[in-house]
Amino acid sequence: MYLKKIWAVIYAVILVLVSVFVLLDAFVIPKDRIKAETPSQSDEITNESIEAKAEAVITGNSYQDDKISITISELREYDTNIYVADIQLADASYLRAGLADGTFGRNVTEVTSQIAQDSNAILAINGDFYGFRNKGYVMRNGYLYRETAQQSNKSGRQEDLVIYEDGSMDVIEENTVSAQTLKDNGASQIYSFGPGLIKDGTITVNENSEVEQSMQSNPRTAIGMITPLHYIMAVSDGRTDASTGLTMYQLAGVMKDMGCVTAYNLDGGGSSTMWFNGEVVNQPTSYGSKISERAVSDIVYIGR
Amino acid sequence: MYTSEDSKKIMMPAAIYAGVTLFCAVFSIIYNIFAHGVHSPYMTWLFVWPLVLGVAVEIVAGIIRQKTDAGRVADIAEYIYNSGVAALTVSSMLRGIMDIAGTGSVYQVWMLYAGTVMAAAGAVIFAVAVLAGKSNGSRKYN
Repeated sequence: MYLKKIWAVIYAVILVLVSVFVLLDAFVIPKDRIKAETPSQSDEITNESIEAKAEAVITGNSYQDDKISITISELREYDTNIYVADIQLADASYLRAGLADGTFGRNVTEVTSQIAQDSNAILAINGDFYGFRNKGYVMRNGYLYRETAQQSNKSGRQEDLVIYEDGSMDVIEENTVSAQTLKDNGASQIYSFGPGLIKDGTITVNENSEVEQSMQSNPRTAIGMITPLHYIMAVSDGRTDASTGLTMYQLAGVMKDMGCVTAYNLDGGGSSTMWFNGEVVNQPTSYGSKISERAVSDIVYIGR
Repeated sequence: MYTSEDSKKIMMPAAIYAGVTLFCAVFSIIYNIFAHGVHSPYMTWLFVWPLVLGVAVEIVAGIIRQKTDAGRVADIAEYIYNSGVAALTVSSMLRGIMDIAGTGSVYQVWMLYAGTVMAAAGAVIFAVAVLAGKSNGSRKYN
């Protein structure tokens, strides 16, 4: 009996310690760090960026220079505030990705606004939070960081957003094409979250086939393409008294109404953040309904 | 003839497992309430581990032990088995937490393997001890 009690105590302590380690490994401990390839951060481009911003016409909800045009509007649908950025670029290279701490890695995080400032961004939204997962293609600014495909939820289909060097976008399934093939075909960015919302002008989610995250109203982040070099970035509030949030189907509808022929769901919930010209545009929620930015792995941004 | 005191002693593990089952059920319900509509079967069905591998198995094991003299080896087998079920239950809870958050860990899988091996080993050792006790022709309670 005495031995049984000693064993129970020792084993319980071991189990607690192992559990704490597993949770720290999943949520906290940074690993697999690779310093980001950042060709856009050369002195020449930074100087160009500074000059362009100096000459740009900037208002509270718009930015206009000779290469970039951004207009942000606020919608009120489904009892939710939705912030939509209409973006037109002269070149696809102005649509970029930024990594937390300028580093690829598991559990390497910073808030969207910090990554945006470090990247000299004009407009930014949160990305796919790749660093929360061990698998899923990760390609940023032409550099392939992770080539391991993941199996998604119940359907087993992991849909990725591919942004090509010519500015076009496509939604693909990871298990049907390798990351290297996508790179060889001219991909510059691959995001592995999803699902795809619109493909070839048709909404690809519906109210019944999607479950769990999709059925629930939540803060959301999406990116879409109207034509190559003409994009929509949308972020919705949610989990607050002022905003219920959107279901996946409602989000797809918003992107469709904006004219997107391709649209993709990025990481949502507490991660959903839109940042413009030094300010957070939306009401990001983290730790339940508290209004504050969540630290994330990466952002999608417009910058010079 | 076994007494009610013996019966209580033997059925105590099943009662403890019933408490653990209740805790797991309440934990998963509360966790799901704050999960913003995201669910994981590992969290939703968390209570099944202690219910099936705990309460049900311990009742059967208790009945068997009332009828046979499995001895000290069966006690050790139960320690190992219970340790395995505990690892499986905690592993399932961790998997549920990570599923809902949208992440994962290879170490959680190793916990699952370790729990499975311990539970299986405990069950096998218990069965061998019981069979050995039977072949000796002895009964613990007469």
